[in-house]
Amino acid sequence: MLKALTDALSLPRALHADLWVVQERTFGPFAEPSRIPRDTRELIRRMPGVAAAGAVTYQTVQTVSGGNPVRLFLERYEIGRPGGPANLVAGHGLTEGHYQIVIDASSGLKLGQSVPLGPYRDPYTVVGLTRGMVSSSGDPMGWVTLLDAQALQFAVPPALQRREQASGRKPPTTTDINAVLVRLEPDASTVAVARDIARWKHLAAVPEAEEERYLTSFVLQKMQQQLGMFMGILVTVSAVIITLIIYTLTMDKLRSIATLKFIGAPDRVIVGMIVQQALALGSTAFGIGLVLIEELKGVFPRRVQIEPRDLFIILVIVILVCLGGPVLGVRAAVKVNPAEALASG
Amino acid sequence: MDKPVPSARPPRIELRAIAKHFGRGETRVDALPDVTLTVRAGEVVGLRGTSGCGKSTLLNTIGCVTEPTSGWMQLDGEPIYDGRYLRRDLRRLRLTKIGFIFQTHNLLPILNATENIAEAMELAGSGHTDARKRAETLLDYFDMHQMRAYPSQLSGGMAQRVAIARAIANDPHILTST
Ligand SMILES: Nc1ncnc2c1ncn2[C@@H]1O[C@H](COP(=O)(O)OP(=O)(O)OP(=O)(O)O)[C@@H](O)[C@H]1O
Ligand SMILES: [Mg+2]
Repeated sequence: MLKALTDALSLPRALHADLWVVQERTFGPFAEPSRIPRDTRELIRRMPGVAAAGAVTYQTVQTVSGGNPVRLFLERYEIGRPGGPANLVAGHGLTEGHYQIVIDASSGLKLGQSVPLGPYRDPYTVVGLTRGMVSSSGDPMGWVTLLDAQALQFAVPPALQRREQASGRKPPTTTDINAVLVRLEPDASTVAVARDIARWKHLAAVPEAEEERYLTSFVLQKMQQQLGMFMGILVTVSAVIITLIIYTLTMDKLRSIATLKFIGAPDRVIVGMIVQQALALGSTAFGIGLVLIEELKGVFPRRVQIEPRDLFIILVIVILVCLGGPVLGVRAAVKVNPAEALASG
Repeated sequence: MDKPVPSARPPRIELRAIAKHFGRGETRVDALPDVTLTVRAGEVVGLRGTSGCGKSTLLNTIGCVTEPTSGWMQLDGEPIYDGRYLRRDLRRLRLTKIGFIFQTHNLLPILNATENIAEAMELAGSGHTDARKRAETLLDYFDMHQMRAYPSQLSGGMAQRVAIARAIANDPHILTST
């Protein structure tokens, strides 16, 4: 499994919510947009079996760091309620309602740095750093508080608001939230509470496992299929390139090959030499690829980290390509007449 | 062409009415017209003729690189051809019984002098170190001291000496040269 999937799943998992309460007939904030009134949190909180409930909103925003644009997947949450940063590696969580942000280290931002956010470029100070918290599209996560009324001023940037209006959609009000994260009492039944919530108008309750499944099957599967397609194209192109390189190299050596045959070398030896060359080529390319992946990994926010099993599969593919690629070259070598060794030149 | 030497051993090369033609119809070339030839152990035979008369074709036939059209041939007492080849592993036969010295040296450019010779021996079944040792002895015998030099770094004469060393490396009973 490509690491991107694990990354994306790290999000719902790290939030430790037993249930995700979202707009009716939607599949949770990671699968599709969901808008519910903000007071939903209080209604849910009072339900039997619910230990804690927290309102959250999710939004992709852009800021700048050192003159470079940085895209963030921002979660607004209520301090002291479900939601908020996980995997904190430096600094601390949000302590005040104002102008603090916890951000994932992959954004490149540092503790204490000031980050302009929102249409008014309000300065937010980085108070905490997390590791490995990125959205399913690879953007680093950021957390700010939902308590701060001012923070809500940029819930929707003006440009998006205009676009939403132009497209005839109802612009979201600042009192909307995307989801309520629910933590249950230890003895409460997830299924029973979810059923109770579903009876409410316009609400759906999605267990954590379901949310993960939606994320996997709707969002990430497509991404993986695309990656798979690119891999397929790359493998095909490399196979063609290896075939042509080996063919050219073999054509250059036909005279040597004819001489070897003339002296008495069996085809097995000659074919072996060609395949050996192809394997050397392939393993060099594989090695260079590994080094490149290792070196360039940090440059890309979306970690398509390859796991040992993937490496093994790729190695097998490389070997198969190197065994199949030289077919043309081998054919030319086997067909060459030993008498050609005598041809002058 | 032949000069019989009394010997109990069978002749090294014996051809009877070996013929070879290339192509057919209009473009047919009779490269070898029924050649009969006997070469005994220790004999050195020179072939002379105008260009295109069939010298190379004859050597290729003896080397089992070019298949005759008809006739009968025996090498080192073993019947090889009688209208068709009588054994299948002709390369093995070449490797162990016949040495070839080519018009151009035909050394493998990616191997150095020693390796070129050792490779021929290894193909015939010698061990790696044995082959290298013997290759170096041979080069020494030919006064070739640049044993690690690659063919491109050798003069024409030096390269040809390496090629001759390679041709005799497997102690062939038959040595041909153009
Ligand atoms: N593979 C081939 N296909 C067709 N014809 C060939 C082939 N090889 C040789 N011939 C013809 O056979 C004849 C004998 O050629 P061969 O190479 O044996 O001559 P040669 O005596 O070695 O000449 P030279 O002294 O120039 O090397 C020539 O007419 C040549 O055109
Ligand atoms: Mg000739």
